[in-house]
Amino acid sequence: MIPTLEVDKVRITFGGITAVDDVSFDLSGQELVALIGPNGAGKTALLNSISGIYRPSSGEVRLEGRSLNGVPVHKIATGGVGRAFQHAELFAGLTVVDNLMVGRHRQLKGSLLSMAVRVGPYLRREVAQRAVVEEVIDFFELEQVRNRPVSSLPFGVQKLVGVARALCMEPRVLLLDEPSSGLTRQEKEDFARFMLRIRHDRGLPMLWVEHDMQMVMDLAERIVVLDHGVKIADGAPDAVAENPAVRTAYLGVDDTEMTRAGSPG
Amino acid sequence: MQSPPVLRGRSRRWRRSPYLRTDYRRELALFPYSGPRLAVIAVTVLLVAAYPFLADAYWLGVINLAVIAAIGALGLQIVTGMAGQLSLGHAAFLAVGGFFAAGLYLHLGLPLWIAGPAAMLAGATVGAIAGLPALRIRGFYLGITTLAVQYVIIAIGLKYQGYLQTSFGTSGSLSLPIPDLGLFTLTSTMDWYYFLVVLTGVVILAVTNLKRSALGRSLLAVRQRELAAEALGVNVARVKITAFALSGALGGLAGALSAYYYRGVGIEDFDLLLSVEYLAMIIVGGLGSILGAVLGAVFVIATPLLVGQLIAVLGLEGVLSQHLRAIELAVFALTMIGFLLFEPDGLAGVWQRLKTYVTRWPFKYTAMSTQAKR
Ligand SMILES: Nc1ncnc2c1ncn2[C@@H]1O[C@H](COP(=O)(O)OP(=O)(O)OP(=O)(O)O)[C@@H](O)[C@H]1O
Ligand SMILES: [Mg+2]
Repeated sequence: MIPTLEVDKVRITFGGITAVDDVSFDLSGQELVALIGPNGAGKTALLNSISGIYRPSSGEVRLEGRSLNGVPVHKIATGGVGRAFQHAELFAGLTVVDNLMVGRHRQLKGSLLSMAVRVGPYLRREVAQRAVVEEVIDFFELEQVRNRPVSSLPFGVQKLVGVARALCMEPRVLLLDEPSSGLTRQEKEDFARFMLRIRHDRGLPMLWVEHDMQMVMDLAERIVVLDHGVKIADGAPDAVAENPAVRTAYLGVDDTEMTRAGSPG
Repeated sequence: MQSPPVLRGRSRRWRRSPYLRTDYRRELALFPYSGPRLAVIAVTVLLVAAYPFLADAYWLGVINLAVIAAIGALGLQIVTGMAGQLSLGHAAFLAVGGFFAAGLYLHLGLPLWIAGPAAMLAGATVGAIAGLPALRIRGFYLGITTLAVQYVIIAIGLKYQGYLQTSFGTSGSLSLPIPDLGLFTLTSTMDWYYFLVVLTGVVILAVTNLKRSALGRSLLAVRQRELAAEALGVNVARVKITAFALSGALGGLAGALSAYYYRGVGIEDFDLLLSVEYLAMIIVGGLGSILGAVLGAVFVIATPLLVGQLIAVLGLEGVLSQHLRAIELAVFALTMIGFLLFEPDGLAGVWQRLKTYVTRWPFKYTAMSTQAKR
């Protein structure tokens, strides 16, 4: 069976700096894989190379066996890579519903004329996609704020909307960049529940960048550890926690308390 | 279980609670049922219809010009207000539209009802080309390239006028007849008024629908966060080019209309100041707002004339006549600065606040708007 997502010897360089150095791993089935590492380890850069925002200087990313090298960012997205950003990156000024509707962009094709007149097939499509978006709103319990401009929402809710928006794309694989950073303990617990429900309802693999080691140990089925752009460990949570290289990377922190290396980023 | 009788049956449709919506089609309606809203619409329609009988010929003409400008301003609003792509050369699209309409008449004898759509197409083409740099550069630098497009168009226009002078012996600028729309002609200012008001109504409706469709959302998404939009599957390049093309199409239409309205067109009219005035319209009106584009157009067109009239009424013509243009420009500049400093949401923002105040009255709190602006 071909894995859903394969990262194959990906290297990303900026000028002289190597942000990601020959990293390989893959995701399949409904795996929940945590990607961890200290600040600046190259986690976001790696996600960007999967989304096509950064281009690997060598190596390639494959989605269901097809190489993503040279594929435009928006095609990678419509091809099945859903992405929630580290800083939410919502469209300020649009409401929650409209932000999520952007996630349904692919299903809302139509000519300019059909959109300007807004009758017939286009209107039916808009109504149908609105119904899909409402399901996601239900799922994430965002009913209260659906018509609020996202910029008026607290940061925790914004992050949730970012994840909801990615899920609206009906992706084959979901990339989550620190979805829980900046959330309160309570919100984090809610978020953990959402992650488990996403996996249960949608059954899709997720690559989840996370700094909260307690959450990672509780939820992840597998952990990939990056340090200075190099993959230093890949395996089950317990094995990774025992790994001496990982412990050195999270210097001075023993594995029972490997909560956080560095400041929230 | 049966649903309660209120929810069933078409006959009860108009007696249902306006707040109970049972499907998304009703939720997405442009004019959801609401007493005050219907009243505002009715009063607006009535006022617009009665205006020619309330105003004198001069002010009727002013509104005609403002309404033509509103079409052009809506074009700029799409590309700069909604998609966030700075366009400093909007006058170029008006020039293309005006010259296309005049040229089609001069060379082929084609009437306005053919020349209008043709001018839109020409404007859209030039718009799409002018938008190409937006794929690589943004912000101020993009503004400069659009300005360059305007100068290219002016240069072409001058060449064309020179060619006409030598080979046709005309006076340089092109003249046009009373417009023939197939079914009727636009002879009087009042004919023009009703024609323009209906046409602008159609344009406003079309742009409103576009704004709340997938394209409109991606325009706003591109303005806010280009990369996130792209990572959500929005083809950003296509969206930008579409925005510029739409802007060119509406600019072209406004250009063709004003050429016919003035019964002539000359390239001298399409200078940098005109582009700046269009930019002023959408800033004064409120960036991104459709209502704002219309209000801004009326404001920018009418204010200088209002100042002129005021001076005349005060009997100061003798003293100030030499400085009239300077005074108009000063008023224009001051209102621009005022809006930029104190009311970034423009006239549309003022209207929104007024509306909130009235609907919340007698409560005074200005809660964070729970509904997004339409
Ligand atoms: N666009 C860029 N240009 C230059 N260097 C970059 C760029 N993006 C990332 N880097 C560098 O690549 C390295 C990895 O950064 P990255 O953002 O991927 O880290 P991260 O693991 O996501 O860290 P954090 O936990 O703080 O989010 C850093 O040294 C960073 O400075
Ligand atoms: Mg990061």
